[in-house]
Amino acid sequence: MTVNADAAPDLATVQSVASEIHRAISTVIEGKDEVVRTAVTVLLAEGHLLVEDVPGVGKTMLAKALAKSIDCDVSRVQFTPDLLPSDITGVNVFNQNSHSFEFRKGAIFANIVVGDEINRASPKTQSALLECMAERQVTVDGTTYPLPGPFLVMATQNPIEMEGTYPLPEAQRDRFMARISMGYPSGAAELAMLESHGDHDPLGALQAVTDGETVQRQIQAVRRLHTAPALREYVVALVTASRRHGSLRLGASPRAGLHLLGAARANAALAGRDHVLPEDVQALAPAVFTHRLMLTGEAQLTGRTTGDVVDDILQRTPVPSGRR
Amino acid sequence: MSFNLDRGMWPEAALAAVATLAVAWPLSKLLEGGGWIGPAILMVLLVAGVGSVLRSLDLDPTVVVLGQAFLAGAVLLWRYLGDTLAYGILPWSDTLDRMTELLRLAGRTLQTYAAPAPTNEGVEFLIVAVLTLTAISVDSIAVTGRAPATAGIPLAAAFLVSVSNSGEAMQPWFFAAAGLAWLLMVAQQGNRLVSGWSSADRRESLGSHDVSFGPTGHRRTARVLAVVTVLGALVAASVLPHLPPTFFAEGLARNADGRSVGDTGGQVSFTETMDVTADLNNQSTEPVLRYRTQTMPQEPLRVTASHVFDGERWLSPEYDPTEAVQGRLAPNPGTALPGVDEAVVRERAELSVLSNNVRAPSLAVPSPVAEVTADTEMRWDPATAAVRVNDPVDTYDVTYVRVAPDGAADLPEGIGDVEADPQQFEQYLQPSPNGRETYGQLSDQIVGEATNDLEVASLLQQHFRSGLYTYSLELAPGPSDSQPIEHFLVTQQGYCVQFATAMVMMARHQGIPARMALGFLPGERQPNGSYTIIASLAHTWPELWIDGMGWVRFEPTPGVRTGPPPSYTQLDTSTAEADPTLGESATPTGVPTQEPTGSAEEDGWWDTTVDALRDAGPILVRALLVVIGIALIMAAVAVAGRRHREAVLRHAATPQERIEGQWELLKRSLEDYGINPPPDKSPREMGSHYETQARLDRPAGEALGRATATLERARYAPTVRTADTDDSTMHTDIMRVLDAVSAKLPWNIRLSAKLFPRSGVHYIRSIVRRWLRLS
Repeated sequence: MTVNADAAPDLATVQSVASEIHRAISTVIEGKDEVVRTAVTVLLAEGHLLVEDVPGVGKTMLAKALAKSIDCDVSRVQFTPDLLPSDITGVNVFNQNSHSFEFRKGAIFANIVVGDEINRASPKTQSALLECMAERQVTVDGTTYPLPGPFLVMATQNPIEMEGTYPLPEAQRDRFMARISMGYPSGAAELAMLESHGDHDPLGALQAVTDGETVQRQIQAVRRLHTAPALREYVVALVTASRRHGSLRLGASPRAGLHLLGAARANAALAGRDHVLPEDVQALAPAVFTHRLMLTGEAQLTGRTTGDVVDDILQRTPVPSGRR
Repeated sequence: MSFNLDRGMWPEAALAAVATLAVAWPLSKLLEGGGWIGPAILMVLLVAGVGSVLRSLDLDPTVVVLGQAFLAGAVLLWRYLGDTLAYGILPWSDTLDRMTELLRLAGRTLQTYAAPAPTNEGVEFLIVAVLTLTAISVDSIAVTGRAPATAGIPLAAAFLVSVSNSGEAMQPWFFAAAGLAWLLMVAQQGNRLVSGWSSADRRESLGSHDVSFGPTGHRRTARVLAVVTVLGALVAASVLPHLPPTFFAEGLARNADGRSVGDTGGQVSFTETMDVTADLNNQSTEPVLRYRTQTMPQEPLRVTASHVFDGERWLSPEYDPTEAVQGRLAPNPGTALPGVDEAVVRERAELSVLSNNVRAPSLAVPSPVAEVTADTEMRWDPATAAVRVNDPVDTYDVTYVRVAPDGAADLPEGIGDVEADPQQFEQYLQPSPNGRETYGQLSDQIVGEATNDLEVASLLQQHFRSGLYTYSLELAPGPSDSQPIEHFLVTQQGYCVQFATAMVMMARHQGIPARMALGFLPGERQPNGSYTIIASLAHTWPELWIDGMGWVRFEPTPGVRTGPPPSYTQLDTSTAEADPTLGESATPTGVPTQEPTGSAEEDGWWDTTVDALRDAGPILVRALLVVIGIALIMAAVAVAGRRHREAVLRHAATPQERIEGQWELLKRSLEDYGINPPPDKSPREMGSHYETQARLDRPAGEALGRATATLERARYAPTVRTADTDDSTMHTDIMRVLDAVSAKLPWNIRLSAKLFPRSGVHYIRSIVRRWLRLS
């Protein structure tokens, strides 16, 4: 439990790297601090991000901006019904010259993978992607290829236009650490956006502020953050409460608990704290939980959303003092 | 010392004054003349004003109350006892004497007169002093103590004194005024409380769950509730019948004889049984008799008299009436009466009976009767002075004689000087042997040196009315059947039969002919001007033969029911003070072995004091035991509270546990101050909960912030970061928070947190619960 002071994570660097990335993204995405912050948090917590919203609010822009602000391998996949799993994972191709099969890497072999409109691909392709996300490795024809670190998948999807889509099953949604929705920008932000996008392309002007290796180091630092037993109890209490909640058909999975703790750790690191507080957990719980929960029919009819339920759970669950 | 008008709580003080005056309002029905009203209002306003000024100066609450009491007392002394003050300012022994004199005068007046009593100096002093005291207690509880709901207790006490002494139903608006004033006080406190909430409390306002919506919503509910309560009380007060006291004495739905109320309505039974007990307990409001008269005051209506007492009860007399006359019976034409001296002033008065339910052959008429006109055959029985009729008669007119209507002034010298002839009045001079020793000795003691029959009789009457005796339809427990007179004199509790019987026997012992008359009290005046008599107004009184006045009515039964005694029997004050029975109210009168009162006076005040202390001894010891008991309970609760608050800290081993213990100490101590603990939340949330609840000032808020941060580190940070010194720093911070909270609280809450902390009650309850579970 006791952590050697020498090994204490270098939180100042974590903070500065994170804020640089944040600032860079903010030049492109205006007035969405919370969303950007969550995105950076998920990056540092080694999670994957699901961005869900109506078209045109900047989902892809956010993904691209995050990818571009870090100097690393980035790949972008436009998901369509005819996309094949091998397009994602890669394929063994017979080399005529060497008379042997050689592996040609798919789109997944990058530090940041931007998957646009993920629900438009066939379930077969979706599951190929999602398996890689969890295992951080790709196995093709019996050979396993590890994926590079850092590794972040940012998938976007449109929840309104559902025709011709394959909605992600619960099991697959569960692999995303957090879901964020962009929401419309405020009036002032929208005005500023019209102005800045008029004469130049802010995304084009965006320069990388850090590199993949640095980010990987920060991820290592975040991993070492202290979580007190009382706090872990709190996370378990929240997960359990979601499974018992009367308005929910499906509660949060154990993986959700892991993801919540990881995200809270990153949040604490962003605040420059070497330990995680209940407030960190509370701040991330909506983003981590809402896409995994399923409402009962009654709750849907009464117009409740999973967001309301998460608020309710946070409101009602006591914070353990850790005292026995 | 700064002057702050708002802290003076002027509106509250004004409302408290109004409430005090509202409960004093019914007194105007009890007292004749409004001389007391002006001074009372002035005193109440003085108390309110002084209180507000002292509060404005931000003085300690105790000082405020003492200041009010001191100034009000000084003004009272100056106004009523000003001439007895030494150098015009210092209370002296004369002051005490004069005050005793005033209070005695007041006591005598209130005992002698039925409501409304005349307002003399003594009564005014008493009333104004009592109202001043009420005003001080109401003001100190409701305004200085900020507990207007509790101020209902002194208000209700004063109100009960005001209304319970009139003997008749009070008008509903008296209650409405007092209730409304009290509600206004409570509402004003609510207003102040709500407006005192900082706006920070409303920051989480959202939609209809808006916090700022809460008080307004509650205020509307409270307003509706208040209006409904007052209206409901008014309706209940005006719709519910005013029940005679016997109704409550007998238990609400219980009828003493198992008879239904309707069966005996409008009938009385004492005309046959010579016992009014059953009629007094009759709860029927059906009229027995209705009559109309212009004469004031009304005389009782007499039915018959008995002179035969068998040692336990009165027996029916043998009637020997004259020849029956139709239409008009004139036993005493003109104003000439048997045995009445020519020089005694007399006047004729008339009365018309409008309906009559008294069973024939009895007829109720005022006494002494001159003429009766009725459409039936009537006879006159001279021995009992009763009018007898052959058939029931519904209406009749009576002319009667009022002897000495203006009291002693109408009597010539020498009335009662000559003793009655024992031969002529033999049957009226036979004292019952049953208990004669007791009543004989007592009557000798009461009468003392007096020889004049009228004076002797008046002294006897005064003894019964002096306040020693309690009027009650319930006799004290004991063998009252076999020794009725002795039992009554010892227990000093009874109703008209006991009073009248005892006085008759004492008079006979003193050689005054006496008999017992039965009839009705005059009844209540109805809105249409007539008077209605119901069964429970049945009454008995002694009639004594006084030389020169004939058979004379006396009224030994005290209480507002019987009204004042006949004016000619009232003694001068000088005679009353010589009455030895007045000075010995603490000693039981009925004990025959008692020392003559004279010796106590000779032994001086020391012995009197010692005696008084000895008498009060058991009471003092009991009171002391109760006080000690309460003190022990409080001490136990206080100690238990301390144990409970420090329980976690006591069992703490590691620094983290000590910090948790400190936090628990803060939580439980704040709970004692009435600040509820937050639900189990993160340290920051709990901290902000306390910050909003306790409304801390900046240093205390910072201390709370530090304590919260320490707790947070102890719970969530890696172990190495928690320094051991955190514990003592945190303790200092917590004490600072507690001091700040305590300083803001009113003194009563602070005191109760010290003496009777919630944590202590909680601890004791948990111990008891654990013990119960084990056993």
